[in-house]
Amino acid sequence: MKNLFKMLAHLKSLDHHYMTWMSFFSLISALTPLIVLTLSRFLLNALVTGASQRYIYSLLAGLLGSSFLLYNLQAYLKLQVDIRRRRIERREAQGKSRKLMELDLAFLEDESFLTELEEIEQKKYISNIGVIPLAEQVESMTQAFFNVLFGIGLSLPVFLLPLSAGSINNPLLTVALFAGILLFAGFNSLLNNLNIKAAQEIVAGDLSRINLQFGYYVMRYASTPEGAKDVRLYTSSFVQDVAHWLYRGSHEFILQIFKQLGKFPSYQELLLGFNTFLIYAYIAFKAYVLKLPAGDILLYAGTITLVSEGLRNVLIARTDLKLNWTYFSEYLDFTELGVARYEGSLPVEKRLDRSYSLKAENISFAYPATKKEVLKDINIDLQIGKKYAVVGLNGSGKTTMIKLLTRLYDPDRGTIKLNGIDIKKFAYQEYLELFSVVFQDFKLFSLSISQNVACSMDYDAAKVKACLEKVGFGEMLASMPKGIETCLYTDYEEDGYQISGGEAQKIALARALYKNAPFMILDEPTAALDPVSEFEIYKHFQEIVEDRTTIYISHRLSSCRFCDEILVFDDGQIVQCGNHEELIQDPHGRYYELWNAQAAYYEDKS
Amino acid sequence: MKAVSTSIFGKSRRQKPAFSVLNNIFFLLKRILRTDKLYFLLLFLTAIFYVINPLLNSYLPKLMIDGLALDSMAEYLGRLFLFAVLLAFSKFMIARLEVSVQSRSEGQRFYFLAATTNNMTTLDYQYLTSKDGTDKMFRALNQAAEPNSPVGKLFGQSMVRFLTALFSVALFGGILIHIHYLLLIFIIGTALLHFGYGYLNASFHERVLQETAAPRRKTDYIQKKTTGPDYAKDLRVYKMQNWFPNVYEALEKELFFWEKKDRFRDYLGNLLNLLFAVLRDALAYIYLIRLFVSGEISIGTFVFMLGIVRSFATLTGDFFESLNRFQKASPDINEVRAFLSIEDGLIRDQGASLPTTYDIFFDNVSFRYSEDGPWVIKDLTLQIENGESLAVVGLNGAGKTTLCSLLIGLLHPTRGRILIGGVDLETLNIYERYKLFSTVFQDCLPIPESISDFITCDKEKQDPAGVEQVIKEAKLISKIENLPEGANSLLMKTLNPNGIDLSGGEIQRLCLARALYRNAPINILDEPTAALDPIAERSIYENYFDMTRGKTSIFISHRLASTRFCSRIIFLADGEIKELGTHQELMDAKQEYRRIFEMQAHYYKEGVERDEELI
Repeated sequence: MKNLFKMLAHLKSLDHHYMTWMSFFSLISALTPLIVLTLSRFLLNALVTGASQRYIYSLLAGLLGSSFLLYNLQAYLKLQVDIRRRRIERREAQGKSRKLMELDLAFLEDESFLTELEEIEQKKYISNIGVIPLAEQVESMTQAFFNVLFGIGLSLPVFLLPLSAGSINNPLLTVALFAGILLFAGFNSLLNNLNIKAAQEIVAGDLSRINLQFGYYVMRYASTPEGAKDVRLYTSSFVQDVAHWLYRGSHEFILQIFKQLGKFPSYQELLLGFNTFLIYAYIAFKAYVLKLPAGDILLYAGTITLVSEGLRNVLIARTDLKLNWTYFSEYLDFTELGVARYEGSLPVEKRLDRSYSLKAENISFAYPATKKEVLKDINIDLQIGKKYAVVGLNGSGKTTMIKLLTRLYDPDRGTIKLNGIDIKKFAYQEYLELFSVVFQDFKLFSLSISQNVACSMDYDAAKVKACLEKVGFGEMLASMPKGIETCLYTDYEEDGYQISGGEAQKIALARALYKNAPFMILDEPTAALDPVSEFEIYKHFQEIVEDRTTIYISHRLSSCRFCDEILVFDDGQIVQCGNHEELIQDPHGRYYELWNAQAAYYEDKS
Repeated sequence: MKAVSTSIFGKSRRQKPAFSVLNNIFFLLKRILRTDKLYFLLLFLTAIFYVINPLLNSYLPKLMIDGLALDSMAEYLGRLFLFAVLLAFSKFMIARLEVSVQSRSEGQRFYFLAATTNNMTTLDYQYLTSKDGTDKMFRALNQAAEPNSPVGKLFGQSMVRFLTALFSVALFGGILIHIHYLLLIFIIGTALLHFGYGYLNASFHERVLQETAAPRRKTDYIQKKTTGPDYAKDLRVYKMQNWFPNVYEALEKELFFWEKKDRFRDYLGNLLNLLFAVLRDALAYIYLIRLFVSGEISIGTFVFMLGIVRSFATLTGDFFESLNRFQKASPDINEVRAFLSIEDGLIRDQGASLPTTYDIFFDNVSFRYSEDGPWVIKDLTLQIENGESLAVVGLNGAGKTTLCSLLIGLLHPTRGRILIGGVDLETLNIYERYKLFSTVFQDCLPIPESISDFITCDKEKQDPAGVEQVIKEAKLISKIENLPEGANSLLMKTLNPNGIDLSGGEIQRLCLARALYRNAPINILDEPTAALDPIAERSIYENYFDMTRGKTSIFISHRLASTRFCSRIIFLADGEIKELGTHQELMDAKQEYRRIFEMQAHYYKEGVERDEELI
């Protein structure tokens, strides 16, 4: 019961008035057939008893008129309910999206968390769970409740009608009827449960794994240009195998499943038949003995059927709601996931001179799911305005350090201090203001260039243009008819521009510039650029970063030449630091090895 | 956008003339008849039971009322019981048959899904990656993958509904005509009118779909991107949590506006239908009352006929609606058939005999993607000797990858020919042509198979010794030996529960192993991605050097450092060969090649100052 309230509260939060509209709709839907039945009863009885033409036709007019009005009202209420329902669905999706944007990064980089979320989504397609089914189930239950209430009210006469001094006891008969109905409802509920269980067993198992693989192969692999190349050259047999299995193998499998799923509803129909017979037999019996008029017979047949259906639907809705709760409790847990970042409250001092010092003291860190330490006792002292190059093999901890500095993760041991204060104490949103980052795997959105650079719907157009020109995108921009309003890629706006990897990288750099933060972190910022563009960036590096404290991670060690200090990472530790001239002196050092691996190609081996 | 106008009897005007509604229906039915006769039968059987049901339902009240006149209660109850059994049986059958129809309709859908996937993996690459090809492919995929697919469940359901309506109209019409033909005509007339309204409304509905397609696509896009891990870092650092809710709101307003309109139109249609229902009921009642009052029918029959009138009206409406549904589904079915009927002109059966030597000759080759597009390769002539290794360098967009794609057969020359060993490549069987090449591209994508399957590309025929050999050469031996399942380990943890995930660099080596295993006569190697560290990068170059010895090879270089192991270098710009020669020759020529080389080498030279100007 408590759970039901939680679910209803959630529904209310998505649309305040939905419950009201829905209640009206259920009420009218329940009343309408009963009113129509009652009026029909009068009409039929009038016919049978030979009432006046005028009376008969006025009853007819009443019947038709009121059913028109009532059904019309019902349709209108349904309209309102339907519109709101789809909107609720969208709002819920947006709410989920918003939550995912706020969560600690650790969750999103945790495969098992993402898979769990995905499974919850998948379940929605198979069982009757989610917020829309919730709305429908609540509606069904409400209507059923009204059906039972009004139905019993209207059928009371037939229950209370005393039989003439006959051999059968009146109350006993009624009790027998209700016992029968309740028994039926109970069995029906049981069958319903079995049906649901059977459906759930289908979800797990081989079919869903093949489905996932098929989904990957078809939607994320073979239908992309890169994957399509691969498929033709190497992997076509694999993709076709999966499709073939889906056709041949799963077809058999599904036939079996459907056979199983078809059992229970068919048994339910048999039960229903038995139930119908009970009701009609009861009424027929009484009608025969008491010589009830035709109109009454049909009225009571109708109302008792409604009561029986009502009881059945109440029980079904109850089990459906219970099932839905399992989804909801998972979902509500998700919405209540903590966001630890927001505990700090200290505002960050705004300094126009960009004088912030950042110190990492004895930092050690391992990603939550693993035990392997990615950073071991790191110490960094970033001095104001200096340019740092960070080099090292893949997996040596470079990108992880960036994530710690920007507080996307917290270190397991050690502290990071900004101007001497532990960064956890600062208000996180303000702390983030200090960093402009171009990640190695940066992403741009398919919206306009201006929005991408400014990360908002409002922006300073002149500033956007200036940043783009600084990173060498000016020429490209001039050739675009829509200028900074051009949308990127084609999956958002159909007339978007398909930018290349290099162009995207420039826009990402412009984005970092636009933010105008005192710390600039660039992780492989020229990886996708051609030699000419890369050289331009190197040449104007000073102009681009100005007096900001900069960290420049790159596999192209040429970038070390224009940085003040080089930090060499190896297996989670900083093994060397100094400038190029100093480090190149040590032939056994990691830096020397990395440098020569690349420089060798540019030597004149003539 | 133009409003869509479709016609039952003509062709759909939304796209180029395709198959008509009738053609599509017969196409699907013929397929069912050929592949699943039972399904075909079930469609008819289900319809029959669906017809019997309302008939029985209408008869029950008559039984109840007329039975009162019977002499024995036992007989009364007995009749009721029999009837209840009949009714229950028909409902039981419907439940079973419905499920059977559903499952078999899914089977039909899976066929189309498999066929679409097949085409997706075998059709000409150039066509498939063009806008037209991609568009057709995704449309077909969406239709076949849709749970309520027009080639699957939707068709099955619509067929059953149509047959039901058809049979009932015939049956019930036959009953009703005994009352008064006028009633029949009135009912059919009002149903037609309602259908007409629906038909007119369809074009508005189409418009709504078009207007809401963009906001829906955009909302989906935002949701997908913001809830995945790929965008997560940027999202947080740039505080985009404030940006997207605003975008959502704007889109939501649009969507809600159109949906309200659409639903309201439906509501008006409903209203119209209700009006007709009232008129129809009035007519029926009045007529039947007159019959009863004049003693021609009993009260039981009165109730029965009322029921029949109502059912007939509903079913006539159903009949027209099922026509409507077919009409709506037809363009969707066309999307599937359009994709499946594409002819790409590639040779898939016996082609020319394969070359025996592997010298390559580009004979005045020109290429552009479309007739109104720019030339990507311009009149290129190039001779590569058997066993020669050639480096292709140039800036982004110069045409390096395009050149290789033309060679492999992913793209086809607009003008000119490409010959290997004197054989024009366009005359070869396309599958044999692909097999001439061992390739390593920049995009190295994992697949959810085992490591040895990945390397051999064949689950049946594998040479374990060969697999081990290439794993050693690709320097993956220590990684793979340490895995519990070794080379049988499955890749991709999210798709294979016991699978493993390899790093980007490891997957690159795996692709290298695959190319080595294939051991094709011609190598095409693309520079490893920038994501590799210097040591890993150098190691790949060493592999390439070993691989290309003695074999005709092409190496695409985006940076100029690594071309040293090739015997010759060509420098491409704007789709033309601007420079050609050995590294030393090109350096001596002091042209573009040298300029770019110097740019890259600049910072690697000893004693260079930070802001030194370039020569």
